Amino acid sequence: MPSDETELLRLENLSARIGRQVLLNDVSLRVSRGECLAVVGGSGAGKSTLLRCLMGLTRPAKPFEGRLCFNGQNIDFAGSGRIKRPHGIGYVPQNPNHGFDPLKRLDWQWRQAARVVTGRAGISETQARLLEELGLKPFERHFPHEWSRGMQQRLLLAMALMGEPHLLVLDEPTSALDPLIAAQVLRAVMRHAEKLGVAVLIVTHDLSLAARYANRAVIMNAGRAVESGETATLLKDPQSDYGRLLVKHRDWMALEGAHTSRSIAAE
Amino acid sequence: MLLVDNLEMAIGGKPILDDVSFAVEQGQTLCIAGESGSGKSSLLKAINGLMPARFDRLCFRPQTHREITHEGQWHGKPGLRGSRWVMQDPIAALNPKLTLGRSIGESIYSKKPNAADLASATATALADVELPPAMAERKPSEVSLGQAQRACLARALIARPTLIFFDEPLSALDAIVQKQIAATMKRIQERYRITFVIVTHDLGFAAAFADQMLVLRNGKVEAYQPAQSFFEAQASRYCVDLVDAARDLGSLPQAAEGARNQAEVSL
Repeated sequence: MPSDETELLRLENLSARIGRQVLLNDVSLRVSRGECLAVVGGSGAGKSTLLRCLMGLTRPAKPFEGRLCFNGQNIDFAGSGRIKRPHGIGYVPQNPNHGFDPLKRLDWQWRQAARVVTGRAGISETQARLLEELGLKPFERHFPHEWSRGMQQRLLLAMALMGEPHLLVLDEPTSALDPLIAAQVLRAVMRHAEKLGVAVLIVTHDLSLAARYANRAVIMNAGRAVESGETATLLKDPQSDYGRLLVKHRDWMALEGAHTSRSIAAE
Repeated sequence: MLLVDNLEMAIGGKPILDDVSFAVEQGQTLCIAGESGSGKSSLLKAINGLMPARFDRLCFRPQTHREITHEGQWHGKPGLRGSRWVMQDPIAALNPKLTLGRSIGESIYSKKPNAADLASATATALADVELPPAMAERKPSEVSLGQAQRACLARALIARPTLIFFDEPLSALDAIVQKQIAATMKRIQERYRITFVIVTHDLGFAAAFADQMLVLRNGKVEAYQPAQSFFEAQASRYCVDLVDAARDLGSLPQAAEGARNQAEVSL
C-alpha cells in the first residue's frame, strides 16, 4: 500500500480475540498527522479493545492478525513473538481514578512517568511550562484526591503530552466526568494538540461529541468498522444501518415519541 | 404537588444543602443539574427522609395516597408513599438472583395481589416500557444494560406512582440506548401523567425533557426557573459556563436561538 508523507498511523486488517471469542474483526483505519479522528460505537463494539491493540497491549484481548504502521515503526500482529509497543502515543484514560494510584503522592507519580518517558526524573523547563499552561499548581506534597477531578484529569493530560507524542488517545473523555470538567479538559486537549501538531484519536459512544471535534469518524459495531469517512458526510448520509441509527439518535432535540419501538431490537 | 421549603442539611457541621426550595406540579418534570458534589443526590435523599435534614415545610400531595406534610424535620418512616425511585446503575439496583418478572412484581407484593392480577400487572408494566413479555423470565445478568434499565422503570411503574425520582437514569448507558429510553420515559409520562424529578448531568437531556430547571452549586440554588427561560438566557456566570460546557460537548446545539423552539416542535 502506498504511504505518503502526511500519514501517521495505518492499521490494516486487525483482528483480536479473547480465547475463542473474536472481539475485533478485520478493522482498518488511518490517521494523518495533526488530524482528529473519532471512533464511535455503542458498548461492546470493541472500541477499547482497538485502543489497547493500538498501544501494543495484548491482554485481555490478543491480536492475531493484521499490521500496524505508526510513524515509521512497523508492527506485525500475526507473528508469534512478543508484540512491540509503538512509541509516540500519549494516552489519557477515562477518568483520574484509572490514571492515578490513590496512595502515592502526585510528585512521585509524575517522576515515575518522567523516568519512563524521558529517562530522567524531575521536572524539566519545558515540562514546567506545560504544567503552567494547563493551569496546574505545584505538586507540593499532595495526593491525587486533594486536587479537584478537573485538575487531576489535566495532570493526566500533561503526563500524556510529556513525551511529545505524535498521537494523543482520549478514551471516552465525557462519560466519567461531569460536563463542566469534561469540556474544560477537552478544550485544553484541543488547544495543545493544535499548537503542537499532535493528531488526536477520540474514542466515544457519542456521535454529537465526535461531530463537534473530529474531521473524520469511524463507526464500529460488534467488532467491525462498519463505516468511515468525513464526519460531515457521515452525518448527512450514513450508509450502514448502524450509522443511520447513530445519526438518528444523535440529538436530544430529535427525541420523538412515535417511532422508536422498531429500533429497540438494536439495544 | 411536591413542595419543599427552605431545606437545609449539614453533615458533621459541614453544610451540604442550604436554603433549597422548589415546587413541582402534577405531570411536570423538574430537572436538577449541577456538577459532581453539588448536593443533587443528597437532595433527593433528604426529600425522602433517607438523610437527616431540616426544612420549614415539606409537602407531598399524591392523588392516590394520603397527603404527607412534614414540618421542621422528617417524622416516621422514610419514603414518600405514592412515589418510586429509578437508580443510575440498573444492574446494581436489580436483585441478581431474581428474574426480572419477580423483581418487577415484588414492587406490589405489599398489596397482596393474586397470581393472575400479578401476572397481568407485570405484563402491562413490561409492555409500557416496551420490553417483550419473554423478558420476565430472564435474570439481570442475561440482559443488556438498556433492557435492565427498562426493567427498573417497569418496577417503578407497576405500583402506579404519581411521582418518580430518577437519579442519573441514563448516564450508565451508551448514546443510542440513552435516547431510546428517554423517548420511552416521555411516552410513559404522557400516558400516565406522572411527575418526574430527574437528577442529571446532561443539559441536552434536560433541555429536551424539563419543564423546570433547578441548578445546584455547593449546596445552594444557583438557578430555579422554567427550563425555557433557563436555556434562552442564563441568570448567572456559572449557568452560562454550564450551558457552554454542554455546547462544547455537543449535547446542546451550537446555536442558542432556535434550539428550544425546535425541541418544542419535536416533543
